[in-house]
Amino acid sequence: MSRIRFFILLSVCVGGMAQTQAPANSATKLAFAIPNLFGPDGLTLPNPNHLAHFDSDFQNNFGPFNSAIGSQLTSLPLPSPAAGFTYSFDPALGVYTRSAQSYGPVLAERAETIGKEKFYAGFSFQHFRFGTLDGVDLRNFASVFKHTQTTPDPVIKQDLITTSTFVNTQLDQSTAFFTYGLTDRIDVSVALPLVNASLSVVSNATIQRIGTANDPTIHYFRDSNGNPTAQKQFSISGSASGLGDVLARVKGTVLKTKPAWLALGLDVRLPTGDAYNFLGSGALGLKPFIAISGRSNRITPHLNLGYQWNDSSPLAGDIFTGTKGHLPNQFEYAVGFDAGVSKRFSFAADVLGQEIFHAQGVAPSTFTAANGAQFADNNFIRETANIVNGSLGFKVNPISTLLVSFNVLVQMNDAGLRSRVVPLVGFSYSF
Amino acid sequence: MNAGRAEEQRKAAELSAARKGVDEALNRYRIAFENRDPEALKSIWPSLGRSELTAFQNFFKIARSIKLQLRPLGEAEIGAAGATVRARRTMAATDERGALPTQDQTVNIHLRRAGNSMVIESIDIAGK
Repeated sequence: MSRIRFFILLSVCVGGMAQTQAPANSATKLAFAIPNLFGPDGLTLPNPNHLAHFDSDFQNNFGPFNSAIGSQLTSLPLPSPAAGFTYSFDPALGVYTRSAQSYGPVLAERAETIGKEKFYAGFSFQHFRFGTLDGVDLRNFASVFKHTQTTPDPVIKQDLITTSTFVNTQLDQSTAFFTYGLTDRIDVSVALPLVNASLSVVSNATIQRIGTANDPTIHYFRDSNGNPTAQKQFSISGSASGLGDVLARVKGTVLKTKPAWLALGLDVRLPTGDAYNFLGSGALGLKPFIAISGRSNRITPHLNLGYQWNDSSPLAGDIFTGTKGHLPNQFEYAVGFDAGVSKRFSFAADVLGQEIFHAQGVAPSTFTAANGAQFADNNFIRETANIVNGSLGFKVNPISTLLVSFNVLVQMNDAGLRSRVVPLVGFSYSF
Repeated sequence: MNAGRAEEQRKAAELSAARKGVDEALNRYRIAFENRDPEALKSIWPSLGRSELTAFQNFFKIARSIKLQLRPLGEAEIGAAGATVRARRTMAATDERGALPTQDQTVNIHLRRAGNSMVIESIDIAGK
């Protein structure tokens, strides 16, 4: 009974946290870092003779990058809240039996439930370092800024500013998760992620004097001594910590056959994380899913299929006005197996995929200047991103019902905002 | 007359012995279960298959304690080959995580004669 009270209390607290987040529009928030990279007025040169403002997809349409982060935050792979130890009652024999001989997958979901009135708690830590966006290296993101001033002199407008930008986005996600067996067939779970997000952006800008090659006084930066220069480095960084998007899950085993069990579930992602600081997606999410687990003794194949519906988020809209835009929905799947290698050791391997519809992406391009010179550029586009990761992990049972988990998520293709390798370490205990 | 009475007395004695055999068999089953003793369980339930016995052994390994109650619901049906008892089976057990949910079922316990005693042939669920 005390476990039920604890779970209810936990749910009330989570609900309370979900209502306390208020959108904030502050330049100190991480979502404003890229728009403010070159100053509040964007990339505007100190030239006194004309308004030398330059624009690019990168800064003018910085929104796609925020949206890409928002999309990624809706789909950060959380460790499975399914218990490693699962039991079911065999009424014919009158005994409890282990439902599966393996401790289950690490990032995928299993069809087995934890068992009536059972309680399971765990903790995991994951580190994400987003290095590429659609395969484009974020350590060297090329952009071409075009002159936007409608100056009467078309030669002046031929000048460009090229930038090479290093965008370092990292997330540390520590997740506490709890599962309670309402009945032998129905589990409820909650995952509470604590996120530390950090963003640092360094951009090296170079004035390409295409039309004003003979006159360096038309377009120039000023260095720290106030002297005119054709190159300048801009940088901005920040970090934030706090509660991420809380996930609540209900899962029920609806079919038990000899070869396989089938469970239906629903994930509800609450926008409890501060989206402006990349701690959360800023959008409510609903994900109905199916989990199928095979019933062999040592090797248990499993398949998960789910559809993630997302509400609107400021990260997909205009962060300055607070206007929300729809975060892309996505189809998700996981296929793999877990295997009980020995009594105290099990192994899990999965392919995890996401098909993000109408996602923000980037396409490398080449900009040809008026004089025929070519510069690397990147254009933001809408696309269906097919993200595929491999997951390899194992669980060890050193004592009692304690399980220690290790896992690596390995990038298998280029689509989307990606980390090459995401390590996970965690532990859990079944009460 | 005497022969008829003697026959009745013999049948009554057999019935009484059979009922005693049923009670003893149920008691042996209960004790084997509570003591988590697979050998004693196999002895009173010799028809247990290998996989079934393994299921009991695995349960006995995870169980810290087991309390089993068998309450017959009416008289046992005694036949020439054995007996059938309809009983309420209530099991309260704990494992290393604490108390497991109490299980309560009505079962039909089928017994067969084995010499002068009874052993369990099978148990099936009769409903709640």
